[in-house]
Amino acid sequence: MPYLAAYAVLLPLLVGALLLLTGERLRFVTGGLAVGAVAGSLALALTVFAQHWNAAPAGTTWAWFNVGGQPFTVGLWLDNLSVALLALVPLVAFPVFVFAAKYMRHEARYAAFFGQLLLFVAAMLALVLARDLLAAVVAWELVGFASWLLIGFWFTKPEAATAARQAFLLNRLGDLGLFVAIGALRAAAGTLDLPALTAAAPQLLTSQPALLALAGAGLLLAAVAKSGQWPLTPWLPDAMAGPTPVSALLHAATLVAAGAYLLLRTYPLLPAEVRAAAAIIGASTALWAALAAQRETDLKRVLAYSTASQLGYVFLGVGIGAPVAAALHLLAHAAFKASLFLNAGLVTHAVGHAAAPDKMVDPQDMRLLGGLRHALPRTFAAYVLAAAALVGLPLTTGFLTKEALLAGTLVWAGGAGGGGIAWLVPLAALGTVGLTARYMARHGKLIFGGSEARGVFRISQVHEAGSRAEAPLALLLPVTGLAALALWLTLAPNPLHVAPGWAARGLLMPFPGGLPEVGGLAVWLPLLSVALVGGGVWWGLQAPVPATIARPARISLAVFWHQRAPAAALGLARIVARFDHVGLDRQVLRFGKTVVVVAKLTAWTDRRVVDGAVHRLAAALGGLGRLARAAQSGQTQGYYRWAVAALLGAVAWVATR
Amino acid sequence: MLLLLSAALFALGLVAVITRRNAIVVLMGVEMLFNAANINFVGFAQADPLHAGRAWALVVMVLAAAEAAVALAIVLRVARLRGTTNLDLLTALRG
Repeated sequence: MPYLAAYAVLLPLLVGALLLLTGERLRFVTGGLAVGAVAGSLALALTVFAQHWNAAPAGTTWAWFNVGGQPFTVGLWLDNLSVALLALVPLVAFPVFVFAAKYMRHEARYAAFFGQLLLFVAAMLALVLARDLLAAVVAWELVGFASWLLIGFWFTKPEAATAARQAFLLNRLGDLGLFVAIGALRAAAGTLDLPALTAAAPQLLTSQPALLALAGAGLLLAAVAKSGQWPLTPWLPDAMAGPTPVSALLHAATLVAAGAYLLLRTYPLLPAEVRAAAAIIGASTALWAALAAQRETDLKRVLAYSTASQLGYVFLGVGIGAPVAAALHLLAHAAFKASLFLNAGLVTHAVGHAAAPDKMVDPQDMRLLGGLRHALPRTFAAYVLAAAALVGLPLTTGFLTKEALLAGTLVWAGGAGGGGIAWLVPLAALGTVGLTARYMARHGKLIFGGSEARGVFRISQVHEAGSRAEAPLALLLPVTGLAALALWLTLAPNPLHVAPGWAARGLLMPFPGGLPEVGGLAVWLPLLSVALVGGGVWWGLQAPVPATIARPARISLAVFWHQRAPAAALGLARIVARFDHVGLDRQVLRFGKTVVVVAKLTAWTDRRVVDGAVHRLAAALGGLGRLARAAQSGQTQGYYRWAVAALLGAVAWVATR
Repeated sequence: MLLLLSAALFALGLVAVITRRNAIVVLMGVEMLFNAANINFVGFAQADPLHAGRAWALVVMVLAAAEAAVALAIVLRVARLRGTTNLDLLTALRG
């Protein structure tokens, strides 16, 4: 029943449209409606998942339109990769919606928020299910549009408005790549149907190498932009200006996953050079974002850099020919990172309440926090579980998927034949493991560790005074539930190896041979990574509390995108404008003048010849009318005179015959 | 002889009809025109073995009586309404 999947898309779309169109009139049932829509979508998605997981790939197609006799179709495609993401998106969205229903309840635009969020969920599900690139690009643009709305939800805050614009523009840059890829694939294969393209991929790669390389580069650019990879990363940390549930859903689990999903979906079509580029971009983003996270002081921006870094692993996995490991890491990351973002929401929620008298203090600034593990023990427990998965401690999903990825990099470097340079990639991947452990340990220490005396927000005082610092269950349960998904049992029964698990075996169906393994049992690799994690955690716990309150200087990449790139773009625009004035406008003007002259001639002819004839005819008829009127003088005897004249005429006529 | 009488009567009637301003005098001229025609009917009937012209003269008399009744009624109403029977002043039928 592939149609069930379509209903999973339509349900959030229709409820979202209802919420957006009714303004705030449905405000008081919005939470229930939105959570209900996502729950319904989740139920449908899980039903589809149960029916289609490990089943033969199925799909439907509808004709959309014809251009030049060429049919264009849209459709659904359900294989193990798409149903896994179909289940994942509402699975993460549901806790986030439950959380947001409570967390956002004081917002003036509560219904609008949920309408936009539902629109996003529907677009994301449509993207996951899309059978062809044409439907995919529609969903892709909708996802970008919804994320622009949501990042800029607090558009009265200048940084939120700027962040939304920046995210939108950098994503548009990627969209160019997608358009190029669609054109190239259509030219090469004559179809945009992904199953057909995938089936024809080996033959296409040899017969049309240039077009496929162009398409692969375009797809990579689109994915890089959407997933916040180097060098298009800066929008991701800046997008933290949006509401926390948005960060949890979009910038941890789904939106950024869209780019990686696109690469996975088109994996068989990517030429070797594009894969190598993906591996290099992924490895460098993983390392670079992990380094950037080390000095960050904003609670949520650390997590944002971490997201870029972890998605770097996913790109790396695609690039080195381990798409199964990449997809598994994508799934695992979505759950634990969403939990971590919601956790950040809990922390700011709690300290925000405590800090109510002094609004000037930023509750997301980690330098002002500390010692919260006493006040928020359950929040802390959920945090530790999710953070353990992120750094890759054993018994978590993160450990399983990272091991698979690291093994993949080792196999790739060994077989790539690139000499010593190829070993830089596994080296970067392993280094990132240590750095991840360090920034997360620092993150946890600054928020939850240390003595409470350091923190500006004295939660325990509020706590002891009788009011509860711990968040209500409606906020706590989603965080804990998502963190529970980070346990290894989610993916595999073996806590040390992902390959025998249900998820890995299922994903090998669309990607045969997509999970390279190091020969032997390779005991040393998990041991090495655990040692790296331990070292990183120890190092992170030593990290000093940053003393200055001043914001750290913008990193060079952000400077590039904010100053250099706009200047270059403006220069290019000036050149184009000049070409436009000289080359195009002049021609247009000349054409315009010709048209005016012709028009004047036509007008003259019209006035003189056509109108003239009509006027003359009218004047002649008018003269006749005046002549006839003269007889009708109203003078009774005038009529007699006419009658006598007629009589005389008749007599004369008779007489002369 | 009769034809000459008829022609004279017709000419007199025509002059009255065309030159006089008073509507009633014009109507009298019209009666003279009718009777000029009647004399013609009677005169030409002499040459007809059936004398059909005499019967037509009677028809014309009946018609003339009916015409005079209608016309005088109209003139009476016009005189009541406009206060005059001067034809030069009655030009409401101008086209």
